[in-house]
Formats: sequence, structure tokens, C-alpha cells
Amino acid sequence: MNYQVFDLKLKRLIQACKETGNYKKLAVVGFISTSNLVDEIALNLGMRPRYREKSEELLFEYMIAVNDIFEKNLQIQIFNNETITTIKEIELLFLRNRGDIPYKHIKNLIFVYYELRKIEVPNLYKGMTGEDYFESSNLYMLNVIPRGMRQKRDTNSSKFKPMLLHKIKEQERVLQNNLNKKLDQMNIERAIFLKNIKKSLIESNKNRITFQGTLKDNMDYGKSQNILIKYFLIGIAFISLCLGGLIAVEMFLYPNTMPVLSNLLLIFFGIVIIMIFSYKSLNKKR
Amino acid sequence: MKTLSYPRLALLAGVTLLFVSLFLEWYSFQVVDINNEIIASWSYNLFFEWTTDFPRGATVNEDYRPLNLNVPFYINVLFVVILILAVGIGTIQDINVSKNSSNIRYYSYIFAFLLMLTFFYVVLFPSIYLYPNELYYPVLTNVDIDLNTITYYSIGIGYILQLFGFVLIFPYSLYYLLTVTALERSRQIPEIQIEKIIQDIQEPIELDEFIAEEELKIKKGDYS
Repeated sequence: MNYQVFDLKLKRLIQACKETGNYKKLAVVGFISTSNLVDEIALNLGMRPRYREKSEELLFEYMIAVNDIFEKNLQIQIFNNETITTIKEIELLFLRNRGDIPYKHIKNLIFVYYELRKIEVPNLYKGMTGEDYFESSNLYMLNVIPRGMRQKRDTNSSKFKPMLLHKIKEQERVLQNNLNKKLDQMNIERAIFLKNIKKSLIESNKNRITFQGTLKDNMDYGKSQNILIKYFLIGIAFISLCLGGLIAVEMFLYPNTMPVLSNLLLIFFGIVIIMIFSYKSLNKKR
Repeated sequence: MKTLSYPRLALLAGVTLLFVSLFLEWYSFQVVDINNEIIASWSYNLFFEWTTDFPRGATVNEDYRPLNLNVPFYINVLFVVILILAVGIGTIQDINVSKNSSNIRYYSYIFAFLLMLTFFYVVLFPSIYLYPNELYYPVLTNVDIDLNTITYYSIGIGYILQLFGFVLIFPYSLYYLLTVTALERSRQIPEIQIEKIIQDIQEPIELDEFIAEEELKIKKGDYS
């Protein structure tokens, strides 16, 4: 999104709305922009999108869910409590009055929007090799063990482990403090990386970022919801197609069975067609 | 106690049907003579091969005995093992609230196997084992004018349960597989694709339209 253009347009709209006294449009724009921004932040952090249908999940609830995940994993807050409280207040009022909210709330909303814009989050989908982070962190010592010594490292690792874990915990604490004051991309990436190292040191075998959260908090889960009925239809269509195919092969192998089996063949292929139509109509409804 | 979701219940019901089906009759045929008297009757089960209600030594019945189909025993055992594992996973773990993504990848292999084996029984069993032995599928009546006999060929309740079982396990198994695949893929999504996803889910803001409307109101002096 081109924020410069957006800011200019928003300024024009604010001026126009001030003049006409019609603040509803401003409230709508402010609310959608904030909601979009929160989505963008959360998606970049690997979260699922917000359930928007029928206001299933309100914006402030979504922000709390994002915070929960990050507090659980990195002991940091992505959105501060004040912001969430402000959004909660405005959102509930916005929904109750259908967008008609007092100007002071709109001002607050736009202020919150620009506060959220300051948050820099990393794109957690980027490949994290780890090597780059060694160079930019004080933990380079992990990587400078000479090759000869590395072979013996496993046997000696138990001696180093407590020291390294202590060092990591120290750094983590510093990062958490920094991040709770101000979120910035590099520090979040480092915090995740430290968590990764700590976990591999404890488990000594995996080199993977594991985030504690449930699948339904993941971005891909949202897309895969409500499709089980479709899979059911696909299942029936698939099995009918297979049975139809089997009968067709049988008719080919034993032509004398054709008069008897042709009706059955039509029934199975008919079921396939019905299932395809049902699937399509289900797609349209959703 | 936690309640199971409908798809998981369907999975468990499906797996139960599949398990029960293994011990029931999969195929049968009967031969009746001109007086409508059964002169031969054989039914097939995956574990026990061909069985008959006729006493041993009933010559005509023995004459009609089909060849053993020899469905590999290890496949049946493997199927039972996979069914037990699937029941375990389906009961204990719900993919929607699962926290361990490395485990669900392994569990997804079980579901893939389950689908493959059920497919084997439903589709490959007739084509590999029945057709070569001239055992007609699914239901057929054959009148032999020379011998004055009528032969009834029919799939059994075991096979029918297998079909229902497949339909019941298919949605959750496929859902499980695709969700895990999507999760795996999502780890490799490059920034550009994320940007696209963000664009897709974001609500569009008609800023220009709003500005134009308000400015028109100002021009008209309409401040209502």
C-alpha cells in the first residue's frame, strides 16, 4: 500500500468531513484502515486472518488472540493494552451505532491507526537460515568452534550448555524489555531466533522454529474451514466415478453383461453429475 | 468431557464400518436349478477365503467352487493396524486444536494410507480378483440354458460397508491431509505471496468515492 497517497487522501477526507459535519464516512475509513493494518501485521507474523463473517471475531478480540500467541512464545506484546482498550471501546460503539460515533472517538481511532503504523514486524514466512543472525548477534561464539573441536562438541556440549543457556536467557530478557517498549523487526527476528537456539540446545536435535499455538490460529486454517461438506460431496462423486468405471470395464470385458449393467452405469455417472452440481451450488452460496 | 466434532464422528463411524466389514461376507454366488433349489452356494471373506453352507463332499457344490482369490494376508493385517491407528488419532487428537505440527505430519501419512488401502479394497479388489475369475460385479443374474441353472452373483455386506466406510472417512482424511500440506507449504511462502494474501483479505476502502461525495456536498452547500 502506498501510505503517502493514502495519507494525502485521508487528509482531504478529514477536511471535507469536517466541513460537512458528516463524520460517519471518516469513522468507516478509520475503522477499515485499522482493521486492515491489524490483519497485515498479524498475517506477516504467520497468524490466520480474522474471522470477519457476521462479526464472528471482533477486531479487539483478534488483537488479543495475536498477543496471546506472542506472549506465550516470546513473552512480548505485539499490541499494547491501551491500544486494545481504545479499539474495543470504539469498535463496540461503532457496531452499536452502525458507524455513527462521536468525533473524539474518530480522532482516537485515527491516532491508534497511526500508532499501529509504527509497528515494524518481520515477515515470518521469510526463510531464516540462522547464519545471518549469528553475525548480527553476540552469540557468534556458537559458530566459531573450530572444526576439529566440533567433532568433540557433542561430548563436551553438556559443559557448555548451561553457560550458553544462561547467555541466551540474558539476551532474551534484554530483547523482551526492548520489544515491550518498542516493537521492531530485527528484535522480533532475534527473539524468535534465540527461542530457536534455546530449543535446539535443550532438545539437541531439531533446528526448527516451533511456535506454540493451535492450528486454528494459523493463517492456513481459516481457508480450510467449512469445506468438509464439499469433501463429503467429492468423496461420493469419487466413489461413484470409480464404481462407474469398474462397471464400464466389466462391460468391456464381458459384453453380454451390457444390457443389465448399463442402467447401473448411468446411475453412478448420474450421481457424479449431481455431486458436481451440488458442489458448484455450495461454492456459489459461500 | 470433550465432544467430538461431526467430521471426527463420521471418521470414527467410517473406520468402525471398515473394520467390521473385514469379517463379513464380501462376495457370494448361488446356483439354483430349474426347481428353484439351491445346488451350490459360496461366499467370500477376506480372511477365510471361500466358505459354503453345504456339507463337505456335496459334489455339485464342490464343482462350482471358485479358485481362491488370495488377497495378500499382510495387506489385511496392515489395514487392521492402520484402522486402529486412525481410530486412535481420530479420538485423541483434533487437528483444529493441535499444537504439535510435526506430529500431525506423521498422522497425515496414516490417513493417506487409510485412503489408499480403502481404495484398494473398493476399486482394485473387483478388478484384480473378481473379474479374472469371471465373478460378476456388483449384482448379476446369469441364466444357463444348457444346464438349466440360474447363477446369482452379488457383492456382500462386507463390500457394501466398505463403500459406506470410504464415504465416511473421506472428508476428514482429505481435510487432514490438505491442512497439513497447506501448513507445510505455508512455511515456504515467499513474501510476494504473503502480500497477495494480505491484499485478498483486506477490505477495500473507497477513499476517492468518499472524498468526491463530500466535496460535492460542499459545492452544493448540502451540509445535512
